[in-house]
Amino acid sequence: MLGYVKKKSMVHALDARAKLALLALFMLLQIFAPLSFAPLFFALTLALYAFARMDFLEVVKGRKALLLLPLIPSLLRVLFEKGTLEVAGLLLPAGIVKGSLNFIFLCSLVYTPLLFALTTAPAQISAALRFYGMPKRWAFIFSVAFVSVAYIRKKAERTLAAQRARGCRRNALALMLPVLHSCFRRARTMAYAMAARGFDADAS
Amino acid sequence: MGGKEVLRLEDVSFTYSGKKEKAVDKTSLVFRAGEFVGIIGPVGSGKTTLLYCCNGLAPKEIRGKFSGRVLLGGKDVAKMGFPEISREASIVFQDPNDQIFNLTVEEEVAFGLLNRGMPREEALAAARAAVARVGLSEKLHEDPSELSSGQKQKVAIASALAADSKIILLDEPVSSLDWRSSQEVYAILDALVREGKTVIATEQDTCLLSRHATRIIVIDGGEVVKDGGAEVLSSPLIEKLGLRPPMDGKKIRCSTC
Repeated sequence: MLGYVKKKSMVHALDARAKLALLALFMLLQIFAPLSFAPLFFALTLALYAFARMDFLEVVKGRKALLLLPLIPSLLRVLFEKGTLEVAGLLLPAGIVKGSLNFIFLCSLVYTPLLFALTTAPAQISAALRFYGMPKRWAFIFSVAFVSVAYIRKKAERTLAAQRARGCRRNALALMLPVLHSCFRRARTMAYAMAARGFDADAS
Repeated sequence: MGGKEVLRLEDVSFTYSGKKEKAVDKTSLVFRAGEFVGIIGPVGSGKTTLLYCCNGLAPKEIRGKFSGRVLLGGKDVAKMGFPEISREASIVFQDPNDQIFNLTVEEEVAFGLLNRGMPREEALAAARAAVARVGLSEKLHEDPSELSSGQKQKVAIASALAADSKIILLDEPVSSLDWRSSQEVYAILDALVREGKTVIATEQDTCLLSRHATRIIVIDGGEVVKDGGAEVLSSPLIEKLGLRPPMDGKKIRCSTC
């Protein structure tokens, strides 16, 4: 879902430390700019996706659950914002206008960091975080988490395929149980492997 | 049999917590430098647990009832910490996916050395040398989780090589590998034995063991039932335990012969 997608583009080629700094700057500008600037930032986000040679719509389609993050608060705004606003000479309900701008604003806020994750190898992200002073212990936790996310995704895909092959319909519980069991088993063996190589969680 | 003693198990027993049967039962063994030991036995016979006892994972990390004594390089494992144990014995797990958790091959192989407190540059140089030994130099900066099963197993072995420990413990190291990768892994292990290291591998493939191991230990129900040379593999006991004897010398040859 958040995995690195190997491609040749200027965004991929950019140094991870520079990318992280630019991402932080871009996010801060978005947060502190007036809501009316949201379309401009969203256009910039789309441009970044184009520079990264990533199909924005494909990225959204492949991660539908992520769309809930901007969608739910924006819908709430549509429903609860009262009054009207004049836009280009037209009098429109404030909820629709502000809700739409809110949706665009939150989309930029969600999909720009995602672009960073999609275009930067996990090892480079970890190195960049260490460069900006993240403690070694946290950088290690990040690397284990990143590897585990990839493992869980693969395991879920395999389990789903195995269940479908046996005529099982999509069932969240039937998918979750074997995946969780496998994750706990892997976590246990991983802990043994770390201990056998002298890893001391308290010392690192 | 003239090599220096590197590992001794004295009357070792281990029962997993919550289980009644002993996984390892009153086992006494001595391993010497330069031995290639194959541990063979039916599934669930206690081969893996025996390996875990050898480097102290049981009972230090794996909960259970332990009795007896394990001496690594003459020292009691119970009184050693894992950084010290890893200088004496390294372990390679059956599924390399379970032991790979770093983001590059280089970091993965250097992990144990960094835990020992080795300076980063020195650890990375040792890691590069170990990776070169297993023939994966071009993958040094790649994500190990993206490698093939054979390459992942080689990364796990490189981690053991980098540790430069006297004993390499391997739990069915080629169970998920194809013929070529299995041969490559065993060639690396042969080279280690020639250097005087002790290789102790659990294995189901008797053909591979008959070609590489200098000593065979047969385990059943947690007990050592036979300990001898490669000829043990051709004894009736092997078939009696439900294992396949090596097919060398017969008309039909198995894939690893």
